[in-house]
Amino acid sequence: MDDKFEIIRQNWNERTPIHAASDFYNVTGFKSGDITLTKTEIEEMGSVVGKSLLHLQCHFGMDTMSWARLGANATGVDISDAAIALARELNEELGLNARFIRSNIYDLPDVLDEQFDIVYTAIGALCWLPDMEGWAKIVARYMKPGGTFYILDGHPFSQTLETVEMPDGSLGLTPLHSYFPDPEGITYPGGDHTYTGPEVIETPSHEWQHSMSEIVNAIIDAGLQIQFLNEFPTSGYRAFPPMSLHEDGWRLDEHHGSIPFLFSIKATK
Amino acid sequence: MDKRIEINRRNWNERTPIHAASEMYNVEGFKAGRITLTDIEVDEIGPVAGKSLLHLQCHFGMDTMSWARLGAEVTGVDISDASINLAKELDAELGLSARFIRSNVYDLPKVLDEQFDIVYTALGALCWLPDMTRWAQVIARFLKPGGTFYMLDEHPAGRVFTSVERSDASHDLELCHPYFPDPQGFLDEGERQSYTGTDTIKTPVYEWQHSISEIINALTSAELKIEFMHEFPFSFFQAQPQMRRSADGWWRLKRYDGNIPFMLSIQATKR
Repeated sequence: MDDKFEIIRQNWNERTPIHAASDFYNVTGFKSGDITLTKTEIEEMGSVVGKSLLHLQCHFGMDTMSWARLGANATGVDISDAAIALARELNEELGLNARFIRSNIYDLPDVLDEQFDIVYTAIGALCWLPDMEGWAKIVARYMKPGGTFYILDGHPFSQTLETVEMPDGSLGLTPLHSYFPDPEGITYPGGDHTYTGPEVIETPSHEWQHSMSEIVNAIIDAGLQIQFLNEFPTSGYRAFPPMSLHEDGWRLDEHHGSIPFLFSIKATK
Repeated sequence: MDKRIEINRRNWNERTPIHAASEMYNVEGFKAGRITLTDIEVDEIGPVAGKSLLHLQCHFGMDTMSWARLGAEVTGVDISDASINLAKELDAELGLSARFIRSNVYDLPKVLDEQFDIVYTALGALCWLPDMTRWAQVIARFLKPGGTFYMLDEHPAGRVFTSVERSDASHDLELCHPYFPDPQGFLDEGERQSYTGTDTIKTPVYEWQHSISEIINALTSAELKIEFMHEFPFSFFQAQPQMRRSADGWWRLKRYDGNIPFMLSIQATKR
């Protein structure tokens, strides 16, 4: 497993400067005061003023520091050295009093011994983790009694689909990939472009699929109580060709039905 | 009374004798002692001996009476007059001491005032209900404190695909139906076969799609605590024409096997 984490660490070290320079992340906008969080996260989380917040898998910390701008005492953790170094630079430049720690989340107890009012995970995180049970135990470990866990991430069902040509020549969506988790995960050899633009990442990567039941049961088995599970028919990007941009994000065109692209869960300890 | 629910009552009255005569329901086998429950339900609910169990949407009661055979004190509720009459007949013939009540789930508090150790819902139930929030409130109403709710039903994501035939007679699956609920439901009408594949039925019927989040949030809003949720890559019926029945009785896809959850179980407790 350690070699897979090492691949992921190197992959995200390579991605960080490319992401930081991209329009997608818009660091300049963030420096001038943008809150990078989605409306969904802000509404579902509720007020964070005066609360301590631990952001797991924070990349270079713009979401973490956005919570700081909304009044939280924020700590961000990420596996990538380059991401944490950049997060600290931004934090210093902007005087936001956030704290950043470089760690694989499974090893976090080796370097951090505290509890928080809120533990938080944002879009595009769980696919980099092999083990939901171990992850949920870490989440619970860092929550104060009565504390809140909140996650918004990609919905596992949307991961199963690919666009293919149907017999009548139209484009349709077919379930080409497994919905259910495989502990081995999938290694990608590198040479693919990252999600922010055309730049190619040479380092390989490794990802894992997690089903909704695997995620929900891991959270419950860690001793947390599910408050809500929400599913959203919109995506933050054009995941498939037959999608159109609406006010709240990208949606499948109607005759293709609908699927959930995002989910959120709130749980308490 | 919602007229769509009244339409469904007539539909299930028409279906009952057709189902009772079908190989799929195999009433003779049941009379000879068969337990009609799936292994999943029996394993996940655990021992029921001496426990009181309320079965919502029980059709003509073979599953309800199977729980009685496993030692539970059972009550079955169904919207269909014909189903409840047949359930009572079977119960009298077999001497199983089950109780059956004809009622729409939502109106049950008007005719039943008790609480149970277990409230249970089986395959093919939620699609006949318009409103998950009120459904979950009814469940909570009939659970004792510390009691358990258990359901096994179709997975909403198993309902979004249609089968498309290619020129070489192979099949593809194409996403074409909404995953998300529509409170209006949809009306199925015209002459068609019931899922037992025998005689045609003529009465229309209303169905509703329910997402996982809608079901989970209805239960948590009714103050039930979710204990687990399980998803299964196989179905209890031939949900797509290219599905084949395995030796264990479940229907599976060959191509795309494991890519779609077809069934869902949830257990929750009342504090």
